[in-house]
Amino acid sequence: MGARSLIVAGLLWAQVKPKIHYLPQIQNKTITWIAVAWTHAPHQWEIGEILTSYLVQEAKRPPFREQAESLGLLLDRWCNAEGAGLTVVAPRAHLIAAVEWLYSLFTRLPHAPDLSWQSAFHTYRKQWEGFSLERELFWRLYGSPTAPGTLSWEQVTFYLQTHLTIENLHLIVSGNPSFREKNYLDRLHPPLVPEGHYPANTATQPDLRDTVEQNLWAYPAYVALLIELPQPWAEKIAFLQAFFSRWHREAPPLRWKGQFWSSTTYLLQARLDGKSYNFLRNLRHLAPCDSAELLAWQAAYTLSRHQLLFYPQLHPEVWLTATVRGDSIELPDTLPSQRWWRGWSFSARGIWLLNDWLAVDTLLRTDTFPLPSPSKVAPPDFVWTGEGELPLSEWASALQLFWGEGQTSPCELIGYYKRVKERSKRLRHLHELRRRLIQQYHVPPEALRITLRLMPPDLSPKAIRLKCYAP
Amino acid sequence: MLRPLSFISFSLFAQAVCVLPQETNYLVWGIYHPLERGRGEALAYGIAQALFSDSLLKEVAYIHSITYTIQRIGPWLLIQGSATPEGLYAFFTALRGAVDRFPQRLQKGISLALSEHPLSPFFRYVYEDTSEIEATPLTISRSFFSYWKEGRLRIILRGRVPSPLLRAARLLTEGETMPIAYFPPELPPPLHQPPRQGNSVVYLRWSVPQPFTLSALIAVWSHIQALSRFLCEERQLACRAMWVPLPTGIEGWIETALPAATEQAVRDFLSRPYRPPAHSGAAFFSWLYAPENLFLSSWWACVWGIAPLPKEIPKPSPRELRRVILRCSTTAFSVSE
Repeated sequence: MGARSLIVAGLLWAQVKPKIHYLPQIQNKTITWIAVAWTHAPHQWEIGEILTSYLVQEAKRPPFREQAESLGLLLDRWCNAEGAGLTVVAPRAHLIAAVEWLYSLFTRLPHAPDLSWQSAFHTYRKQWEGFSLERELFWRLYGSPTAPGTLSWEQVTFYLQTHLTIENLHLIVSGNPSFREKNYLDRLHPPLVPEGHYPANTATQPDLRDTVEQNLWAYPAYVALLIELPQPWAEKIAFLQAFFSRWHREAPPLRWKGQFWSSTTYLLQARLDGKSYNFLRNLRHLAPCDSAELLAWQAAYTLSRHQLLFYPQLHPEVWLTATVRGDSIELPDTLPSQRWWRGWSFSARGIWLLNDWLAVDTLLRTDTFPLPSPSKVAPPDFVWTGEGELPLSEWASALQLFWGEGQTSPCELIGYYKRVKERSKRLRHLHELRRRLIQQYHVPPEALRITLRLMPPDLSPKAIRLKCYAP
Repeated sequence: MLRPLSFISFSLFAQAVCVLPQETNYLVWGIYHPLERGRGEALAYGIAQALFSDSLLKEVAYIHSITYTIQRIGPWLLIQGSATPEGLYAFFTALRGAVDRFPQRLQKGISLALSEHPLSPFFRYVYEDTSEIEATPLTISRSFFSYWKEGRLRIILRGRVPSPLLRAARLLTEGETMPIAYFPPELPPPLHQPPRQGNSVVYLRWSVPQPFTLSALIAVWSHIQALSRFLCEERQLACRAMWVPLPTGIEGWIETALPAATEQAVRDFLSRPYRPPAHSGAAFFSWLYAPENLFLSSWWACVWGIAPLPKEIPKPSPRELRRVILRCSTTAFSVSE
């Protein structure tokens, strides 16, 4: 009976294995990106931070170091409110060896507060020694229950027993390994405890009240903000690229850093001058001002998408948090134009540290910063240079969106002519386009007006412009 | 070993447009040209700034979300950035227009400027460059034509490079490709005095025997990794260094607060008997494709003419690595302002 129960327990234990995720959408076939991640409660992220640093330090000791060099492995760590993990970049041919190496690193997990652990703990505390405004803002924003660097070994043991278990572990592999490799990875087991029972997460989210405080030392302004993100991943990326593009163009910060913090928030820490501070305080809605800005945002999204799909190691938090949570990251080539024109509401809450002198600073000039009204859509302004197909559907959608806001002055469909004898031909073409927009795309007739202008020297004679005016 | 070199000029006759194909639409690109004898940074940087401040080019860069930096690194003026293939095509086309319009731009006058790279003072000191030069329209015009019109420009493209983009890049470098004359800097006389302690740089240059091969690149790379580990972990003197590829080899600018001790440590390392690493191919391969090294690895491969990059893990023999390193000659000295 006892032997049978042991066999059953053994069989049950043998079934326990980490969850394996494959990311076939990652396009890099030369190098493979492997990550081992686990979830933890938000208030325990500091332990995750120290633990991952500890494991990275252990990986620099023999024999891991020599093995990593011979396999060509590049190790990195990740930690945020949702989880922590280790990532490895390896040549494609060394995929299995890299996973085995990563799993073997877990044999070095601390079982007692020995010298190695104390060294890692001391290194972590040392980097936050002295007064660091960034650290202070971060702790205040996230409300760590204990003062940083005063963790007890019991808390660490509790973390190891509850979060670093086989069931809680996720193995993420980029690309599409062969059937044999997948079979082999399925049979690999990390040397962790198969303990399945851990208490429910009772930690509450920190209170994200917006606080503006005066600070004698922080000049000009320091902020630690959590920015609300839209739900779909494509819109998250698009929103952030739009925000950074507008921010850096209108009122660039002095210094900033950011990371995806949770499923719906982005953590931004920045040092700002007066103009930039005003920009962030007053920004309520993010929508393109004109078609040039729309194109710039679309291009930024495209570039960011290419980077994400080819170099996942640059943004581990995107892939790790989504995969561990069970989201699938769908990144289409581009978002619909209407989605861009509609924009997103902007909400950033957190800690704003302001210096008194900022009020008298010459940089703080609110009159030179016109903000678009959040309830209105920016008037579209498109130019088609005569090459390729005329994007009538895009123009129609922008027109409908703009005209629906109760405009009074019509938009102009502007054509150009070089010689007087071309005027009638151009007028006929413009009227035909207007008819198509009205009949096919249901644009209100009062929204469009035809105008013909003399051709400027740097435009093609076939060019057509659609210009709307703000009321 | 310190080896005082007389002025040796070496000609690099590499391709004007160096393409490193990779299946990604996240293109890493660079435009670089040599500074004549490593001097004239103010002129070259001012011309580049004036070129890139062309309004049409700035508009195209904004619309296509192209970011770039212009800086002087070692004996080169370097403009590097990232873009999509479509955006870069528009950008290069607009840049070509800006180059054509530059003579008119010159009539409005340009202001000389210096690169703001943290190591810029050390670059200028080692190459005996000065920021105070006579900027007459004639000198500016001569520099512009010499760098941008007479075949000294080199372009690096890494990623998926469609043929229209390649054509646009070749239009920028049209004309006969001129050889690049490189004059290695010597130990400037004031540095014979021991430098005072402070934030400083140790200059190190490897002259690698021709022809450049992938094994030579791996040998020098692994030697540099060993040196970095020696200085950072064993001697704990310097952990940051910038490596700049040259037509004759590679130079390193090692940032340190203890220049005399670091120079001695570098000499100690170079005088040790060389032991080729057992496994360097895989580590080199990962370094080659790591995103943080994208530009440096591309630049190095292009300057040494080793394009295209290997698609599988290379396996150089230790004998070959030893042969390359033992035939290298090195120059090292500390630089202090």
